[in-house]
Formats: sequence, C-alpha cells, structure tokens
Amino acid sequence: MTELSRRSFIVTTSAAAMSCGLASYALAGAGEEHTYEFMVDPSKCIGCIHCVKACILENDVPEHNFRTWIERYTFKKDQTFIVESPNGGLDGFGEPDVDPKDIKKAVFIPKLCNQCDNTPCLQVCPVGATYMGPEGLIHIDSEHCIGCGYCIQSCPYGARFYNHETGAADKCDWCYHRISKGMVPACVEVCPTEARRFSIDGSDPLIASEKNEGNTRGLRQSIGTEPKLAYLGLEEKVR
Amino acid sequence: MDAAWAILMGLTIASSIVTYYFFRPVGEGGPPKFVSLEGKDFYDRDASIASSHTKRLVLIIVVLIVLAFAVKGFLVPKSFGQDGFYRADALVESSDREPRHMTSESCGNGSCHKYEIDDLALGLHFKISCISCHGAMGHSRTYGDVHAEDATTMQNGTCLECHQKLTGRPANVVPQVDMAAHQREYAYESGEGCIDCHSKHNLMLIDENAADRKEGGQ
Amino acid sequence: METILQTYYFYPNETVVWSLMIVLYPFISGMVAGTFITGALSKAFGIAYLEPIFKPALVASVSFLCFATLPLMLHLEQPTRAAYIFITPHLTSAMSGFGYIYMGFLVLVIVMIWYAFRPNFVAKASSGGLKGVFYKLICLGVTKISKASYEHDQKVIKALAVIGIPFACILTGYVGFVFAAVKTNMWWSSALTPVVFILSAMVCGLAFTIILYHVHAKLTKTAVSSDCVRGLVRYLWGFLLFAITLELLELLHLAYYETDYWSIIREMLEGNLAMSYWGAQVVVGGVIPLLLLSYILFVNVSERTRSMLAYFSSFLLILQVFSMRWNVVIGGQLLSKTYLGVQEWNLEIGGREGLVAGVMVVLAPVVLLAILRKWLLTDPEVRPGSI
Repeated sequence: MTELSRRSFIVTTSAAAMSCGLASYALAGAGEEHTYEFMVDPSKCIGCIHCVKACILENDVPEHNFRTWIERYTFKKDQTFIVESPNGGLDGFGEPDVDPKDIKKAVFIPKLCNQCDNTPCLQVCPVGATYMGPEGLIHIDSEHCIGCGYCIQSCPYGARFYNHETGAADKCDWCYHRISKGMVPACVEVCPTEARRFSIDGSDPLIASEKNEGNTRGLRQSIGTEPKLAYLGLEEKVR
Repeated sequence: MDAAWAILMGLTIASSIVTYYFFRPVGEGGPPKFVSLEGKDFYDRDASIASSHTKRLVLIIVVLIVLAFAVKGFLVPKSFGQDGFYRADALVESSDREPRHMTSESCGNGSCHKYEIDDLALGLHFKISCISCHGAMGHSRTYGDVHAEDATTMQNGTCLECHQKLTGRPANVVPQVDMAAHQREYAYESGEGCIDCHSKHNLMLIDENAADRKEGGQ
Repeated sequence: METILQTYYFYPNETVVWSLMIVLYPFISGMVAGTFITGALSKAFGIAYLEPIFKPALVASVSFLCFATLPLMLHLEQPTRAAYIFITPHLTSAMSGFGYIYMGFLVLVIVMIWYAFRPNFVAKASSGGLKGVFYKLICLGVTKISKASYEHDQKVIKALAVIGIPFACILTGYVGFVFAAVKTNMWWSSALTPVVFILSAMVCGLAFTIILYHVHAKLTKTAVSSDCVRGLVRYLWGFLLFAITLELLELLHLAYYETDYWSIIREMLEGNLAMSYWGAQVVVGGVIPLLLLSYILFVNVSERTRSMLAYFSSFLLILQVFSMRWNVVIGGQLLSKTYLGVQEWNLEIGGREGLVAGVMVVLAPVVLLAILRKWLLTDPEVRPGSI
C-alpha cells in the first residue's frame, strides 16, 4: 500500500466513524429506552489514567474517591501476584517492587461500576434511593439518599463511596447524562487505545460479537451479582 | 488503637472497683417498702369496670397510628413509585446534567479546529479523541474560556502518559520510550520537547532532521 | 508489621464507612433488648425471685431505647431525610424494617411502663395544682383503681411481656441481620451473626441490670435480694457461655475452611484487632467473668462476695459486649473486599462520629436513666396489700 492510499484509507474510515457517531446522536431522544453495553479490554489498557482524570472532571468526583480507577496486576513466575492502584492510579504506577526477571506478565485493569443485574446495592437500600432504571442501569437518587452507607458496604467491587459534597452515596452510572444524549461515557471518549468500548443500541458490533463468542466475562462471577460490564480475556485472579 | 483498648480495659476494671466502693449495699436496709392500695381515697372498692383506661389507651394509639399513616401519604416525594420503587424524576435529573467532555466533532464544528482535526486524521493518532490529550479544557461549556491558555501547553509529560516505558503497558498497543535511553540514542538537547521531532497532530511523520540526527548519532 | 499476605491491596474507595456510631447502635439496641427481656422474665414466666428488678430493668430499657436512634442520626450523611425510612421503606433491604420495629417496640415498652406505674400515677393524680393535672393527663382521666383493674393491669403486663420478649429478640437479632445480610463480607455474612447478637444482648442486659440493681438498692437504702442476684447470675452464666461458644465457633468455622478470606482474618486478628479481640472480647471480657461467675455459682460463697464478684463481672461483660460489637463492625470493614489486605484505621476524637460524640451517646441514656429512676423508682410501690 502506498503512502497516499493508506492516508486516504484512514481519512475515509475516520469519516465513516464520525458519521456513525452522528447517527447514534440522532437515535437518542428523551423518553426512549436504549441498550447499553460496555466492554473493557485489559490487554489494550496502557495505564495512562486519562479515563480516571476525565471521570473526575466529568462527574465532580471528590478527592480520594473514584468512580473509575486503574489497577495493575503483576503476575510473578512463582504464581503469586501483586496488585497496585496508587490513589486510583493518579499518583503514577512506576515500576512494581519485583525483580523484572520474576515478572511473568503485568496487566492494567480498568475498574468501574459493573452495573450488576442481580445487584446487592439495590437490594440493601432502605429507602429506594438506589434504583434500576428502565434500561437496566443502577442509578443513585442523591436527593433521596439518607446516607446510611449500607450500599457502600454491600458492593463487592468497591465501586461505591460517600460523596461528602452531595451528602449521598455515589458511584459510576456509565455517564448516564452522556449516554442518554447519544454520547459515550467520558472515560470511553478519552481512552486512546479502545481499551474501553461502549455501544448504544449495538453501535459497536464488536462488543456483541465478543460476548456471543464467549470471550468476555464479568468480574467475580462466582458471587452471583451478574455484572453487565464485560471484560475481554480477563485473568482468573483479577478481583 | 491497641493503647486505647488497654486504657478502656483499665478504666472498666477501675470503675467497677471504685463504684463498688460507693454502692456496696449488702446488709444495709430492709426490703423495699410499698403503699397499700386499700383505704386510699383513689381506691375504688367495688368498681365493676376494670379496663376503661385500657380502652382509652388503645383508642389513642389507634388514632396516632392512623394519623401517622395519613401524614406519611403526604410526605412521599412527588413521582415516587411512578415507574418502580424510586423517584421517577431522579432519572430525568441525572440525564439532564450537561456533558463536559465534548466529542472531536464538536471541536471541528464551526471550523474552529478543522485544520487540527484534518491534520490528526493523517497521523497515527487518528482514532484518538481531542480531549484525550487536551483534557476537558474549555471545551466543556462549564469551564468557559480556560481552554485558550491550556490547549496549547502540551508538555512532554502529556506524551509520556501513554508512551513512557512501563511494566504492564502492552508493547503491541503503544510504542514506548525510556527517555534517558532515547536521549542517548538520538542525542537531542535536553530542552527539546517531543513535538520538536515528532510532529504534533499528524504524528506518523518524523522530522527529517531528526532522522538525520539518528544516523549521525549512531 | 510483617505481612503473611503475598500482596497488600484494597480498592481505593474502601474506608471504614461505619465507625464508632455504628458500633454503638447495636450496643445500645442490644442493651434495650437485654434489659427488657431481663425485666420481662419475671412477668412472662412468673419467676418470683426476679420480681425486684422488673421495674428498674424496664426503666433502663426505655432509657436506652430513647437514644437507640441517636447514633444512627449522628452517622447518617443526611439526618434530615431519616424519615424516608418510614415514608418509603424499601422492603428488600434489611435496614428498612428497623424504623417500624423500633417504633413498635418503643410503643410497647412505654405502654408497659405506663401499666407498671399506673397505681403510682393515680396516687399522685389526687394531689392538687398543676402536678395533679399533669398526672390526671398521664392517667388519661381514670383516677380510680379497683382490685379488678389492678388485676387487669397485671394481665396486660404479662401479655406485653410475652409479646415483648420475642419482639426484643427481633429488634436485636434484626440489627445482627443488617450485618449478616452483607453477602460479600465473610466476617459478617453468617447465619450465626443475629444469634450471637441476641445472646450478647442478653449478656449486657443482665450485666447492666445487676449493676443498676446494686446502685438502686444503695440509693434507696434497701437490701439487695440475694435470690434475685443469684438468679441473675445464673442466667448471665448461661447466656455468656452460649455467646462465647458461638463467637468462637464462628471463628473456628472460618479458620477450618481456610478460604482465601481466612488469611486476611488471621492477619487482622494478629494485628489491628489483637487487643480488642483477644484482649477485651475473649480474655478480659469473656474468660475472666465466666470464671468469676462459675466460682460464685458453683462454690458456696457469702452473699457479700457473690454481690461483689457479680458486680465486677458485670462491668467486664459490658466491656465484652462493646468489644464484640466493635470487632464485628470495625473488623468487618478493615478486611478488604479484595481479600488481599487489611486496612489501618484510627478513631477520630472530635467530629460527629468521633470519640467525644461517642462518649456522649453512651452517657445520654445513663443520664436519662438517672432522671427516670428519680421520678419513677424512688416512690414506694402502690399495690394491694394482700399480695
């Protein structure tokens, strides 16, 4: 392929991608229900933390709390592993405290709300401030939340926290204010490597096909929370 | 916390001993006294109705319960329970928030950054959203005009967020650089930034002069 | 500290969300249930030797009950919205029923007190002036007592005691269930948790009643009934034995399973919780009082020694129950949800959930009890002379 034709190919595909984006914009409208799918591909995550920063800015996340964060799992040759997430990743990962020769594999794992189908957080809310919307996503009504902290205790993924600014429990809602307008979540928007992929009504067919082929799974499936967030080729030990 | 618990245990033992010293009652006083009902002016010798006070009490409790449930009905927030066990308006509220991170389309809109967008499409970063490197900037409506200053001050650090060599960073996804080795290899001056050799938006073109230097350096 | 874990990690959002106030909440509600059941035993089962502590225990129960929600209110991020738990109770939540159970029990205990002290109120209603009007209001205008109505009252009290004992078990067992219902926390999610909560509620209720009985007897210059003390000690010994056994069984069960959770529990019990678990809950609060109580039960001792040792052990047992609440509530949160680490945590001094506020919350019911004791328990009982 010559330089010129390659470049024109890129221009065409990116134009196509843009028109796809616009099409999904047109699809979204108030009161309609959509199917949302989120897939994380840890093998593409480079740990740049752009998603964490974007999330904090997009959602006014207070200091030391995270709607999304990045962990690094360093698997050693002796079958043990190390997990790190310095300040959710914001403080920079640096090199793990292991002899590089002992490292078998290291991988970054983006974490966010798993939007479980059978979620413990919704079950334990005493007042109905955490609820499942018509599209199956779990939301928090920060005007109704009494701040008991029960949902924070019950989330097995540590996705919830007290937001002392709103005085309510808080967590990732897959940027509902964006996706309901046909945009992708802020973390997906800024992800430079497509480690995070989002689909509105099947706009990203890759997610559905990977799911159908059984290449994805949820975090901690053994505890029966049935997470909607799909991880592609997830290591067994990641929790 | 260990010290606190040791103090608490000490305090408990000490207080039991000290208060016992004051309150040991054994052997003092007799059994509790009582007043006999009979003969008192409020004693009703031959009353047949025994439970009039119970009837009044039950009535009061029933009235209070009914009142409480009546008041409760008024206090349920508007739109609660309309679509499920939650405040239906809350869903609208959470979808109404303004997005802050805009898409690259909106950067190109009105041809503000059309040149940069077109330029980006030529390079390896063509898939990457503007705000991935430039942050939310003033591109969010919330932050107004800040972006004028910030958008152009990309430093080496911005590039290195993705391109610094790092354990766990997959080599097949991004090219990675160890800055010290890179400087040795290409012999550039320490003041020079990444974009002095690697062009900004259309990033697959490496400056010719840099390519020369690499040959010269080796 | 040397760690036995291969890595040390917890999610960045993990903190001790439920701190001192949520330790005090099961502690105080356990006190409510324990003192109530202790008091109600004599009426429900006709145990005559426990008759002297019926009224003191009931008054203690209501004093704690009035402040049982205070720690919760201090803990809530939005205390002004607390009423939502009554207005929109989400029934799948283990917490939503608490409002109704609490209110129901409060009504029951206040009604029971009203019946228990009605003869005294009626006696005071015959006095003139504002005081008379006040007591007439309290008596709901019924200012005469007959033998029939006194017997009717006794029947109602018995009925309330019979209803109230299971109700009190529900109240405190329910608090245990709030913890047991957290699926992913192995330190909490056990069917034994509510049972242990009920048993330790009985322990602290009986212990507090023993202390209260001695203090009250001293202040009213009456003698302590040695049958009553022996009876209380007997119950206390039994409940304590069961409580400690179940607490340790639960731990043994976790240890024997050796899941990946056990490694961090071990880490915690050897580190952050060593003093409060092994020191306070097991040795000082558990084994020592058990030995003391066994001594006064199974060895012939003088009345004076029995009273003294029962009094000392009661203090230790209240400490045991407090440390057990602490170890359950705080311990469960020190363990990371990743099963990979144990957090460091220190109690803050000031603030809404700090040490100072905690001491106030513990003292508040004691102060109320002192006031109610003065009001209700210092007048001689009014009753038919023939019984």
